[in-house]
Amino acid sequence: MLTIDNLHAGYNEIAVLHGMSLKVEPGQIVAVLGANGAGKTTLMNTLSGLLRAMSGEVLFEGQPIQNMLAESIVARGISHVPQGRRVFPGLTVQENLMVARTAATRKAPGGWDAALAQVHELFPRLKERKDQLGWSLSGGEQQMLAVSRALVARPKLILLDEPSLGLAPLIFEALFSAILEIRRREGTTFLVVEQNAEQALRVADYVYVMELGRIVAQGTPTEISRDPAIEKAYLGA
Amino acid sequence: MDTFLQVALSGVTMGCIYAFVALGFTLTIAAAGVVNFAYSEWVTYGGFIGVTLVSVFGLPLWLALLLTVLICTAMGYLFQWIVFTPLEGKHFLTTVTATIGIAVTMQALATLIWGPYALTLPTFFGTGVIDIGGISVFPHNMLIIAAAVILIGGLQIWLTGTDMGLRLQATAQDPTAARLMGIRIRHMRTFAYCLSAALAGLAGFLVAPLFVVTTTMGFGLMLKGLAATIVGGWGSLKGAVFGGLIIGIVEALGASYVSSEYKDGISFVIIIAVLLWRPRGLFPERIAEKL
Repeated sequence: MLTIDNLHAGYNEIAVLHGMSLKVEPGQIVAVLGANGAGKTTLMNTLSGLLRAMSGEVLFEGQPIQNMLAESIVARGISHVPQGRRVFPGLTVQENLMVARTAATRKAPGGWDAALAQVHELFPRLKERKDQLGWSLSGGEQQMLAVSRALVARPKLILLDEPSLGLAPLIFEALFSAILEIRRREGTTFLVVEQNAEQALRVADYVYVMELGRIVAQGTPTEISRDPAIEKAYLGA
Repeated sequence: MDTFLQVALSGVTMGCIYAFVALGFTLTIAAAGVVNFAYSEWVTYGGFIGVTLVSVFGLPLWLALLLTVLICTAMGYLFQWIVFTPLEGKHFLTTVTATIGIAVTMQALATLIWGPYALTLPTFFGTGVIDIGGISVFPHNMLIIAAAVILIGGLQIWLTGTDMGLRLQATAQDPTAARLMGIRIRHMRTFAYCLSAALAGLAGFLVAPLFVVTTTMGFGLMLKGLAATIVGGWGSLKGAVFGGLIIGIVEALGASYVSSEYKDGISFVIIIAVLLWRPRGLFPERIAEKL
């Protein structure tokens, strides 16, 4: 579904990604682990079109997307849930969801009503808070809203940038079970970058480990968690 | 009491004009982060274009008003293309310096085109006054107030009740997140610039019959508009409207009950008072991000 080949990217000619390659198969939850500064967010921003790739290729469903604008990438079926949630602070929960509507929302069976019903079913909290402004939500609620905003666009692939950041473990667990539920129902594929290795290893089908802009290890969660070097670096053992 | 109402009415009229100016000025700050100090000249040009259309081309007033707003909208489009898009994302001071430069150029150009003398624009309803319960009402004032109610009300309904309005708000609050929602922020910003320029044209045209049209007309209004945005809350559309009305009313009351000599000083006293009491204005924008 998504193939990244020898991707170089960064800010103002300073490369952060030095030849990243990875693969995401349809229906998978793929986790990319890495410490602060490994280039996880740069990877996500390049995939969603916020940043231009310097070289290399990103294929989505066989089509190169590395030179597309963020707006067109959303239309292709990739939704990016950015780091820090970036909920619109002055819009209500309902309005936050409304601005996330795309052509795909209308075309899907049931249209907007179905999308909204699905979001409310997954996160009943958001239904209770639908008239509250974005800034007044708790971190967990904001993360639910950010994921829901992505869902409204009926994506094939969702990019999650550090969903655990600043969330209590219980809330984070609930969020991840919602993600599993979304995949079960919609067959949505996920690419998650995380610092919190423990949680990510629990839900992922395949894991990549990133260091200074390169992939340094990959494997199934079991393989990765057995690797002594990784255990030391990411699992704090 | 009659004097009070009379004064309040003229205050509200000027308040509506200030609200237009503040609103147009704030729109580009909110939607694109661009502080446009050339806005004063957009207002001036609104007045001059109106006068030209009426007295040189002999167009009826309604048509002239419509054309003025259209020409100013086109001017806004041209400006966003040549000036503002390259300025987006640049340092605040770069934008301020560049737009002040444009303001000076536009003012000089206005002198070249229309000359240094004051011009006048007739009103829609002649110069007569109507008597409503002991207050003499100049019909043109009522037109300004009606235009403000319709336009500001319409803008409010549009911003909160339509898809495009919500997308404009989203663009203003977080452009990066807006792009991730598939919102074409370039289109939203272009629209905001055009709307901002249209408001300048309207304000310039509507205020012209109350005073005279000179090359410094916009500058005076802009000072009050700026005061309104500071009182109301920087970047807040709601703040711009209420700030404008407050400045207009207090200024009129001050001119009548204190001294008209201090008319301009009064707006600045309001600014100082608001900044001391609520440094972010009466309707501060929510920009804080929670983590």
